[in-house]
Amino acid sequence: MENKKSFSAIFSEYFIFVIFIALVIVLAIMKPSFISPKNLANILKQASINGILAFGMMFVIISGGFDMSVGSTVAFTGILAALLGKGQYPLVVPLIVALIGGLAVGIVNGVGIAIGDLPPFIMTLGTMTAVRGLALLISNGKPVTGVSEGYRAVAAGSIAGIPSLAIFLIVVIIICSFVATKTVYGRRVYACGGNIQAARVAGINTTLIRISTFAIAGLLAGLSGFLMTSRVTIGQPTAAESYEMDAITACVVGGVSMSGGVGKPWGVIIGTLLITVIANGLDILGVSSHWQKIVKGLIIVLAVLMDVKGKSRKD
Amino acid sequence: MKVRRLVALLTAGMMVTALTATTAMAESGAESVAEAAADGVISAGAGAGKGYKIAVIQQHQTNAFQIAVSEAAEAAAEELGCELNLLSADQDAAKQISQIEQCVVDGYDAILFEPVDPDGLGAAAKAAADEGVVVINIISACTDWEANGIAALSCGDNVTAGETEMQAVADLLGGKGNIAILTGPSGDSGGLQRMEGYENILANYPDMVQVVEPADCQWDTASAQGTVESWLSAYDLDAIICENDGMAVGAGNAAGADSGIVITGVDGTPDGFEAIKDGRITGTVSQNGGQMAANGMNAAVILLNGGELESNTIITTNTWIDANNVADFE
Repeated sequence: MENKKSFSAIFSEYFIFVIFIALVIVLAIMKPSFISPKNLANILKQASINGILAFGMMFVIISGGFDMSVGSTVAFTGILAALLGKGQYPLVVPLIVALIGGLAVGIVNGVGIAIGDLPPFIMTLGTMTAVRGLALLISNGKPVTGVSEGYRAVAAGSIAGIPSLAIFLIVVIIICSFVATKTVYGRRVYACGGNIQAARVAGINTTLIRISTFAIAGLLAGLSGFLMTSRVTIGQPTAAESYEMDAITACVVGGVSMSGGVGKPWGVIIGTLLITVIANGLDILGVSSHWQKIVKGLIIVLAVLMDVKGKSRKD
Repeated sequence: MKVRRLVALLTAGMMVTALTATTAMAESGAESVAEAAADGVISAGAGAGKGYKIAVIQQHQTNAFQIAVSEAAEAAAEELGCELNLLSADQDAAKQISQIEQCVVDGYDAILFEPVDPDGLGAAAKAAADEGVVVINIISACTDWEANGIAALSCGDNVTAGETEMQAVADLLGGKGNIAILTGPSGDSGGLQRMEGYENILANYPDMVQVVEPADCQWDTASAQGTVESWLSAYDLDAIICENDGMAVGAGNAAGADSGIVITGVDGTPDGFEAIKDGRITGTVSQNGGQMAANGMNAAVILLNGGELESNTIITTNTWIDANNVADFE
């Protein structure tokens, strides 16, 4: 497969990389402060939470699924972490509880879809709504204040000029890329999304694989929730609204096919950075945020258009 | 609407630089509209609502402002001795219409609601009023609310809130500096009115320059934080004016505690207070949402008892809160 790729497939694969580089050059020329170390650190910080979510989403989409619930899960686990992160417990407690909370939502999604045979869109739409309700319920609809200094420092700090949020992202990228491309498990995820019947015939436990991809997405949403609360210093029940869309956008723009089985980790990295750079660059240029939406929308459509074109010529 | 514009014009005309004077002026502006609410509070008297069933339909119940509304409505019901049903329309105009219809069927004596949509709820309100139910708008009004049979309007004044906030910023900056504004979702009427207030004040201070376009941060802390981080790496800002506290907290996080940048919000929510105390934001304008609900409940009981309101528009005054007085509001 790898070496028989057609020209258009290769073009579509690197198209987004070219767009990204072009955008960076244009922004650096228009506003030199765009490439100042401080702003590069900003970009890493701003990319982190979406990047972590996008890598969870990557597993789900490659296995042929779709997860609408991650934004709500970030808010829910962020509230859990805020409630437990007021200094009354060691920091590891809110972290573990947030991870477990996210994992639980992911497993519910996976079981409903792989065993209950519900369409992923419907199942995760349900959990998206219910988990948002849960976030509002446990916070009584109010932002949770009083997050401890130590907890705030998790996202605020930096090591050797690299924001600590970005370090979380880099660790997630390394682990996820390794799992997706170098392990048997990773190959099975691709196989499930490529052709689930064939995967089943080949003896892969597709039910377990599909549940596990949603569990990964949930777990990473839990991590994001923990980091989100540290970053904004409050637990907000309405936080992370439509973050699932940004994560899906990062994947799709990065060449992860919505029909499953196709996608590379480095594409997701570029997708995440591209979205962040658009927002950051237009903010720096002082452009109205309405334009950001338009530019983002155009890039999504362009990227998917390339994806579809590349595929139709391959067939 | 016309009345509010008038208040805005009156107050804008009377603006003087001292902040205390500003607040006093805003209050007197409100008085000219609603004499009955000279101090922004009306009362029907304890126990006056015995036997009445009142429904309060909120736009939603998902932020600190709305929870303050819920809590104040409950407290007012307790004091008035009436039965209260608190409902949330979850930002859905169709749902709010059904809730109003259901409350009429269930025999409620009064329905208070904050319209999810200023134009979409008029007909439902009129139908309820035609059935003899006392209908009152709280927090914001339906378009042509009086013509739609709505008996009273208990609200704050977003234009004045915006003016109070921007005036405080102007005073702190000495009328001169680079400023930036964070807004709520584009098209939100509350946000637009706050912006109108900002513009009224900025007209007096040509040396206060907006160096970037206002950014739409959807009332969201994380979004505001990202935008302000980006701005601060490219612009030298003296003040960041936010249309709510959530975004001000995000701006404060981006700038850090005691950054020397004046950062302000509107609403007076717990996250805002926390950030004022630790120096991440400078101050906020309290909109007293709870008082709007309480005034609405009392107005309903006065009308149900056959009384009359001195004015059917009851304006709640707003207050500037900073490190000096934040402890009084928690």
